[in-house]
Amino acid sequence: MELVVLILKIYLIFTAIIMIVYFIRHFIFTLNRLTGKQRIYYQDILDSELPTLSVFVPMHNEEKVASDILNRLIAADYPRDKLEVFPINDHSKDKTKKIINEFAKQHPFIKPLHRGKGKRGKPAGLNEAMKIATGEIAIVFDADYLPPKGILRDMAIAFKDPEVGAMMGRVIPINTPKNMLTRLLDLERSAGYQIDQQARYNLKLIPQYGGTVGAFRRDQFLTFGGFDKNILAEDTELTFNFFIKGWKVVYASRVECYEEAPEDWNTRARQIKRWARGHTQVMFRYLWPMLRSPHITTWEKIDGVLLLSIYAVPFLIALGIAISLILFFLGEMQIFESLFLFLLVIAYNTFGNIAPFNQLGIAALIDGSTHRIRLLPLLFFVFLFNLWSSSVGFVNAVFDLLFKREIRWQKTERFRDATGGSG
Amino acid sequence: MRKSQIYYHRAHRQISFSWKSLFVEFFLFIPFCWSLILYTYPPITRLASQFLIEWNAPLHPASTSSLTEKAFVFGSITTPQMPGRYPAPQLTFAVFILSVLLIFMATKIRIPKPIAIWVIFVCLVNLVSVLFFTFLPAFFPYTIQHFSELFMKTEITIWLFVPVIMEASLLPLPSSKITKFMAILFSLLYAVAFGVVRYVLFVQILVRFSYIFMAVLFFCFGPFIDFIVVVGVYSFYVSLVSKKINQDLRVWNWSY
Repeated sequence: MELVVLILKIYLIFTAIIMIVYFIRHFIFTLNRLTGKQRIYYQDILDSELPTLSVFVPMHNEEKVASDILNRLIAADYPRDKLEVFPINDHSKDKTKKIINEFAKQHPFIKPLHRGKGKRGKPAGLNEAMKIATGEIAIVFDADYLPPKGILRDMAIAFKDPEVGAMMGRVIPINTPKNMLTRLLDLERSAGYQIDQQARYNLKLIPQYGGTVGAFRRDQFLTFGGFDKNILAEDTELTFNFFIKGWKVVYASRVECYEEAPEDWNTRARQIKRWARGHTQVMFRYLWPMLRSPHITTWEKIDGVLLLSIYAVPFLIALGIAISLILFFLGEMQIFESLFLFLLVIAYNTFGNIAPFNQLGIAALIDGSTHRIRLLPLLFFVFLFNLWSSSVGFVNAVFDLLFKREIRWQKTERFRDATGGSG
Repeated sequence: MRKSQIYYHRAHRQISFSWKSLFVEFFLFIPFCWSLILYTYPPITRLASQFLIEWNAPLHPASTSSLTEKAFVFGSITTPQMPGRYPAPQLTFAVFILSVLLIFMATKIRIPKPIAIWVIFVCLVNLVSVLFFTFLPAFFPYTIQHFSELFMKTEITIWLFVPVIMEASLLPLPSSKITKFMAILFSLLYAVAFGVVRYVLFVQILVRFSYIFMAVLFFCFGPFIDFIVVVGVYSFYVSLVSKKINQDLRVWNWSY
């Protein structure tokens, strides 16, 4: 019994140390973005020799939003002779096919890809479309996004740098005032892009291609063999593929695109579970190749490990809470009298609350979202919600690995009405 | 429409900052806050314990109650020694039924999922407690004194930590030092008051109702929620700073 108690205590110390490492990481990123030297993107470069673009918009039952994004892409100021748009109708059962075909009739650069056979899902759809595309640069938007007029030019210009393999823009929720969840998600997005992505770009770590509002070199992508259809986080997979092969991913905070954030908690839970599962799948597959890659610096490797493990941490905390409960009933909480008390309390209360809170607060300060900052204490409740959803996703990824399970892609529900308004 | 002033885009604005100043302020104010806590926690725990014994005097005569003093960080912690109450089988059963019912309702009734998950978490901890008191009541390892010691030691550690995390979060902000220190002190005082009030309330629940609630009090309403107050003060302060500086070009710099 003593050995079991010892193992449980060691586990808690291990968890606490991990959480402190993440706390320090959050803190450094926040200070770096607020006060440090900022690395700029390429948006000020003017060049008339732009690369050819293939824009991909995966769609599965997207009748509520399909017209909006296609209209925005038609209005884009990118030279028409260098642009092709692939709306990928992926097994839709609603009016998506009809909407896309109507657009294609009027605009020859819109080239629909209708998929009714084969595996459904974003990776499978993109793989198929990439093969028939001709553009040098691939750009991906999710169907609910509303790209502004000049965004394609801003995205494409990064590839004038021969070291850049992929780039990522900033995502801004368009339906923030809708309800409490969308307001809280705006805070989370703000911290994720304004601080996390920018700081990783500043510090030459691993900015992440996020799967939408992102671009990459299509020829290089094809040399990777496309996306793995069984991985739910094709964006993380692509990021690490590029880094492992010696390419860089850059982040463009100024390249903003609006999205529709989930408006109900069930949709949000499914989204987190999918991200956690996919991200963890990538961790299992790419952690070792990343550590062995000669093209990645030591700091990039450290950041890569922390980035790949990020969805494992909520599971570790959940397990830590369960173990604390066991130790409590065994009367072994006297560990709290040692240094361990300090470590555990700091860890639980900072990773769970303060570290992300500080990052969220500073991100909202930079964004000028004054009123939203006052919602920070409410994120305490979201902490348990995220803990649960991420843990479920993580466990699913472990089972995927153990039992070689087949993955089914789950679409995020849309809330916009057909006229373009939200909800 | 012509704009009289063009502000920096959010992607490119940042503030000036001095690491030297931050370190000086940090290492000057931390010893002050820690001295305050270390100087006051022994009398605070003594007063709270005395209060609890006097409050429960009608229930427990003086012969069954006393104060115990134990050494802790640079001082000593005083805890009350008095009988608590083991749960009667009827109460254990009632807690079981109520917890199961609440879990069922939380999954069926349309309430925001984060609140439902919080309710389920509280009920699950209660169910573990029910199981323990149903099958192993003789092995319950805590008395009122043990719980008091555990809870207050945890709280004191949190009090020591509050100024550290608040300083790390607030000192880089572009606002006056005085208001920052006031916000840090306020959050510290609130954390102390909140901790002591909860401690007295929790002990009362254990003495008057049952030990069965000890786990849920410690895990769900103990250290876990301490930082809501701290985050509340932090967010209120940052929102005030944001309101003040948002359009002030003297504060913001162009990032390149």
